[in-house]
Amino acid sequence: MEPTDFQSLMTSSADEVLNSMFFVGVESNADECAAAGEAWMAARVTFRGPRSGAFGIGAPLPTAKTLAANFLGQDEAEIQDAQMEEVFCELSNMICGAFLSRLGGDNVYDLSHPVRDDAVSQAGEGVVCRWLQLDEGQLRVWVRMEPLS
Amino acid sequence: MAFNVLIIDDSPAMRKFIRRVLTLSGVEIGECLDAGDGQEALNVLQANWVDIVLTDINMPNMNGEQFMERMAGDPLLSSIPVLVVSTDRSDARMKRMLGLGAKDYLTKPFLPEDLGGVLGKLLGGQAHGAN
Repeated sequence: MEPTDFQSLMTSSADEVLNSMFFVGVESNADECAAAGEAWMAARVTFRGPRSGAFGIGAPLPTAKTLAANFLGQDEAEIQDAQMEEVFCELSNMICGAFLSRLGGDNVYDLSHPVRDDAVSQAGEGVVCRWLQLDEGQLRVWVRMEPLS
Repeated sequence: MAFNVLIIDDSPAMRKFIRRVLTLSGVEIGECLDAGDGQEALNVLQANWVDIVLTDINMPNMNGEQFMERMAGDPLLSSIPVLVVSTDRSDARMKRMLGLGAKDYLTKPFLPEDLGGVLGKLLGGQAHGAN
């Protein structure tokens, strides 16, 4: 499977999760971050199965706060940092699950507990990433697949 | 008739989302309890009667499969219907959970109306408001 295939799966997975539970649509794929330098929220989850690796998401704080408010049904002004982190971790978990189901058919994967990611961006060998333009803001989605043994 | 519900998920955000969806589902909800893992849920069930349990699978301490095994081994708890709500969409996992006694399996993400529909089905004709 080519990196462009992974990107396509990441886009459709994120779109499904965001549309159904966050009431936000993915408008298009974005070439790059339009909010460079802004404060950031990121989360990651690792997975083990027929393929193993890590999956993560990141977004500027205003976008993360909007997503948290939509998910929790609260005003953005009421959203605490801890809630934003919890929602972002859950969002990474659900998009990863949707991605793996598209990737692996009927394969069973074990996912780690999602955690906040202190690294602003993930780069390096094997990392495939995609920027998504949402109704409000941008979301970065990435996956790093371990080589097949 | 109001139904008491136990939500088991290690994500506080997901528990809150499910609780919100339940209140909007049209099903009359009585007490809505929650737990962060299977062991915590068993402790809740020792002190409270609920009409239905909604459980995640991937949780620390005691996961959803282990929780279902404990439920199945208890004559009283095994009569409580369990709905699994998980990101895992594999047939193998679904079959395993249904084999352990789960009444239905809903994959995340789900539409709010999907949860209302499944609840209405599991709670039978008494949940008239369900979609």
